[in-house]
Amino acid sequence: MEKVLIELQQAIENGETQIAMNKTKEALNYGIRTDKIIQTAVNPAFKDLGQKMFDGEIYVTDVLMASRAAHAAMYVMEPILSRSTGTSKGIVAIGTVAGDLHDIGKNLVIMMLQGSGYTVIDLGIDVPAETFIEAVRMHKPHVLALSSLLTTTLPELDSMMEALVEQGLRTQVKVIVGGAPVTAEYAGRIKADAYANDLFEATEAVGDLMKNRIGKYTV
Amino acid sequence: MNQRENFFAMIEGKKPEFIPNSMEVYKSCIAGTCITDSPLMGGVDSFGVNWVATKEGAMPEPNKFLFDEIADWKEHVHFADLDSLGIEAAAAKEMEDFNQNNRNELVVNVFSACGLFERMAAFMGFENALCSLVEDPDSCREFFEALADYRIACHNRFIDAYQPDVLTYFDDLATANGLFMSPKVYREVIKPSHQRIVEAVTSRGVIFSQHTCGKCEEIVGDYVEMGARIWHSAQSMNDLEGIQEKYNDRLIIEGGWDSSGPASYIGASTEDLIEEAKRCANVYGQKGNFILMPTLLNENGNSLFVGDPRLEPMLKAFNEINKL
Ligand code: B12
Repeated sequence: MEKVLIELQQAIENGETQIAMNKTKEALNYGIRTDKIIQTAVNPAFKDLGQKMFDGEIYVTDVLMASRAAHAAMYVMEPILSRSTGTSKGIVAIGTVAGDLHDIGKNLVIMMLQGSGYTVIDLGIDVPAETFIEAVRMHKPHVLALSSLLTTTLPELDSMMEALVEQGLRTQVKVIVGGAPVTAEYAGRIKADAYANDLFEATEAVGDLMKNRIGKYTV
Repeated sequence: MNQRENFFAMIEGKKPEFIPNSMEVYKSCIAGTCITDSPLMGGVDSFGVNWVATKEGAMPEPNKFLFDEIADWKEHVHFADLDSLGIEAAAAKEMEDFNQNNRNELVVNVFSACGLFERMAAFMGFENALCSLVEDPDSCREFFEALADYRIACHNRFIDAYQPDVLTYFDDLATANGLFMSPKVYREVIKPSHQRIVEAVTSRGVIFSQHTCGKCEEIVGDYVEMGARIWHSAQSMNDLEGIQEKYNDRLIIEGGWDSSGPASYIGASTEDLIEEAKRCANVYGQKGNFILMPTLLNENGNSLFVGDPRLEPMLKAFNEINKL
């Protein structure tokens, strides 16, 4: 029974979508619960990948293929996951700030968060502050995640933080920021709650924010 | 030595007199590639892909793809008839005010934007393109071969029209942390066609300059081996010093500037810029195989197109400390 979970983990790490789907079905047939499948196969796969990415052993293509395989596994579990209430670990609203059209990094963060069991509201690219604000009001996300890849759009992060305060929403939502020119120091300066350097860190950081924990990525 | 003589001293492995910078050493030519590859001001390109102009630069319209499966490329990709595009007229116009005296002073550098991988991403999005490299390498190879034929034809036209010294070919294959794809995938799927592109340029006596942003040091050796003499945008997250040490006068590093760092933040002072230029000169400039390339975006956009009052004092300060 444990063997199938190890095989599922392997299939995800290798980006083998079909095998990942089959192994997930097999695991469910054995009567293994979805939360156990996620905890012992999906999450460890991403943890491993995170380490390998950090060590420079794998590349964006590998992470994309793995995300696709993890999505396929989640897709198989979806009917069961949505039947049992409260399985979502929390809601994250995410977008690339106004003026910036880069989205590869943001999309990877989304895949990873979804693969780890969060409900993600993707606001897309070139998102003006008003849209973020509207989304916070409407969806009441636990975490608002902002991506900026351009140095010229960094000031948008500042404006976003100000807008949240002005609109009286700052205490309702935790804010995490990221993207190539963003640093922990910058995040601290604009009084965001967390900063993360890649998709794996981002997921860990969101986990900490969800639990109100001071973690490695809290600023 | 003037800019041109100093540049060719570097190319010939002799000692240059000073560290050049990309803004003053080149006459950069973009009109040809705007027609064949990527419209600088936005609009539909010769393949039918719509580019959106932003103040920082143009890019293919996000989330609007011509096709999803690379196996289907033949149905969707149609190469333009180069006779009908008006490349020569555009080149002539761009070179209108550039006379023989200028040619003796400067280095003519023709840009060729949106290389093999970027073109594939322009058709089908980055994520799809990346997954295709792994899932369907055969179709990718076939597509790249056909695209390389087109690019070679374009380059030959550029070379005839501009008589350039250098051709800078752009293909972004890396993120700030590493390559998009493994070196193995690059070598098996992209490199064979890439190599033909390089050789077609160098065989005409034109210097090949390869542009790749991000941390791509793992394949810089491949570039050198194929015949590239310049690596353009050489960003500071790579081990530039190690690379300079290793390839010496076989490769000129053009870049150095920390384009995501504080000197590139909005509101960075002229002093910050001078500081960054000096850092580059000290750290990378001393071996005579470096060209400073400041990448500066400001509130109005890319300084190359919209200008920036900080550039002139920065270059002035740089030119005071760039003697070798
Ligand atoms: C690919 C790319 C593009 C693609 C984008 C395709 C797409 N769909 O996104 C294309 C070619 C279209 C493009 C266009 C442009 N680009 Co560009 N691009 C890049 C490049 C090479 C890689 C970026 C990337 O996708 N990385 C891959 C992902 C996986 O990494 P990532 O984005 O960093 O994301 C990770 C982390 O940052 C983090 N993260 C990201 N977001 C978030 C959010 C949160 C909340 C958290 C916690 C974490 C997090 O997790 C991610 C996953 O690990 C970079 C080079 C570089 N050094 O980064 C330049 C770069 C970002 N681009 C740049 C520029 C200038 C442009 C253009 C303006 C000009 C142009 N014409 O080329 C246009 C943009 C127009 C606009 N207004 O947006 C510059 C920016 C310079 C500056 N001063 O800021 C860079 C740095 C290149 C350079 N050296 O000059 N680009």
